[in-house]
Amino acid sequence: MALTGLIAEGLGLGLSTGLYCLGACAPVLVPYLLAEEPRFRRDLMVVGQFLLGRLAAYLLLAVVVGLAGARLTAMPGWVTGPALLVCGLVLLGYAFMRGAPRLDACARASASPAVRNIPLLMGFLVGINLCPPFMAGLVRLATIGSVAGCVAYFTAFFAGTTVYVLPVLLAAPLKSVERLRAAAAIACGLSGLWFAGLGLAKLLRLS
Amino acid sequence: MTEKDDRKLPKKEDLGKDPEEPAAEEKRIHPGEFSAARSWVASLVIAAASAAAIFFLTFDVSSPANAGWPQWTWAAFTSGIAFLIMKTGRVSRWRAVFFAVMAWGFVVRFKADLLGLKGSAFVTDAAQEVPYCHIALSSSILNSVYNQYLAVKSGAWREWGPLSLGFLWLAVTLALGQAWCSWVCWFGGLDDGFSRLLGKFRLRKLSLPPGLRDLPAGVLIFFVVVSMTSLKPEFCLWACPLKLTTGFLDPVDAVRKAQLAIFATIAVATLLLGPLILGKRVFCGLVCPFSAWQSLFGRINPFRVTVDAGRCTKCRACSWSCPTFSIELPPPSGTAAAALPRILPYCNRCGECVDVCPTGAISYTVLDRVPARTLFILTALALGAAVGGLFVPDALRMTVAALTGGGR
Repeated sequence: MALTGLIAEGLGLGLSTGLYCLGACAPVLVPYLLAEEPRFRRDLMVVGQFLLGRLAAYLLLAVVVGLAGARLTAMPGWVTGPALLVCGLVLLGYAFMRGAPRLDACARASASPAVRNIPLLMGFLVGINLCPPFMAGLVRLATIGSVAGCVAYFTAFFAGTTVYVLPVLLAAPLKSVERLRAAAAIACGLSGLWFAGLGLAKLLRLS
Repeated sequence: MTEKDDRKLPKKEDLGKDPEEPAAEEKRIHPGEFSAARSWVASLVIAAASAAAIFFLTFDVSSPANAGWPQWTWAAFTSGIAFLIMKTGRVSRWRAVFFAVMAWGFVVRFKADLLGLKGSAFVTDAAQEVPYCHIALSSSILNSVYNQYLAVKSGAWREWGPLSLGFLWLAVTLALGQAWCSWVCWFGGLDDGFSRLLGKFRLRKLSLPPGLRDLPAGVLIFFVVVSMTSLKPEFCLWACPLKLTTGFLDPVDAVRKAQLAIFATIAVATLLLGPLILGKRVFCGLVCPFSAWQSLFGRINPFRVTVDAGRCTKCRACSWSCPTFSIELPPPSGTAAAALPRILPYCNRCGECVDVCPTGAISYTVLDRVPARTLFILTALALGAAVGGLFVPDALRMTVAALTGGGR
């Protein structure tokens, strides 16, 4: 199949199922975005890093599936549990850091570049989760049979779903309320608990 | 965490008295209170006005003869509460009695229906996923908006229920704002009631670590987002302890059992032990997402609780007495105005601070300007009675029938 055909197909899948992707990303991205300092440049940076992380995850899987091709008999479902667990723990750590700013360790952590790049990691961890649209994309990838085709297909899929993620920036003006940022940091902690619980349940095969 | 009591030393003759109990001779008149309200006649007139409002709001005006003794009892009870508030000048004490009766009525009515219809305290899948209330609606508001969008788009007019509920909420919020949580919410009477059970034996002078007061707002943000993700009311399914008072799906599998265990734990901690030990409304003040929701939108309502800078002695009694941690005390530095207690948007107008203020510096107003104590109390009580009228009379009838062996 021509590359343009694959791109159109990936874009179509992304545009038609992207709302589901927003559902997967919003519980991680929205509380974090609201908890950060109210500067639009920082907001753009957070969303940009998050999307970059997702793109990296998609491309990684595209390359792996492209190489494996028809030999791929089972989807890598085992990554979901650990990814969710790590994502939850990162969010919990972030919430703790925001909640106890007077602790030396928290003050040092909040200034470190690694913490500023948390959205990149979260984007990657959310990106490698196997949500239904992503599964549909993976199944299609397995039939393409070339790395270039797979990368083109998943890049287009990413572009299609990104249309639905970008509107989270509309929540940014709410951050001018100081109390809302404090509440969002608490929501980050709850989100962390939620994802860590989901990850554990998947690891223990409870769900 | 406790704070140092920096109030002036009490007089010798006042030792041994409850500091929150105003002296008998203190006949202070709050701003907005009818100056003659403490008299029998004035209190009776206000109680009669309250009864009239309840009559028009809860009875079928075209055929009042259809109302049975439970309806009349409920109307008499609420106008009695209005009388006691006016006669004694204690708002929160009598409001709490009214509120606890509402909660009792709701639980009895709901549980009786459930047991009568289903024969079990649990709901089956066939009924509905979870009982739906204002708390569930606020914590999954995007789901409701989405469902409403689908209903409007498909022309399924009969599915417009949430929209009607939305208009009802708007009307109540315009009339009462945050006061819903202390005068109308049929769940609030539970932790309010438990927070008063131990009386003087509960912990006092408790202040909250900074940041924790925004917990309900955090709960709201998280559950709105996560409910939208799963298209399910997740707060209702996983966290709401009030389902113990209504009904929950049969715990037939591991997930349902986990949910039941989690919200039962939250119930014991925030509805029972927390209120009993701390004397605070722990669920309403620190968990309920609807309280955060109402603190955001309740500002469209004009009623406020206002501190008069000229009369406030900064004794801190208001902050310590607030059952929902909604009065913040700035550090005692800077100007006198800056050191005034700050009423947070989370305040739900329960009147506890109004009752305990030794100088009558705290009062109900309209937009912090016009004193409106009597107007507020009448409005709140009438609306609370109207909502309570939907289930308390039935609960009364059922209870009497059960006690006299008459069945349902």
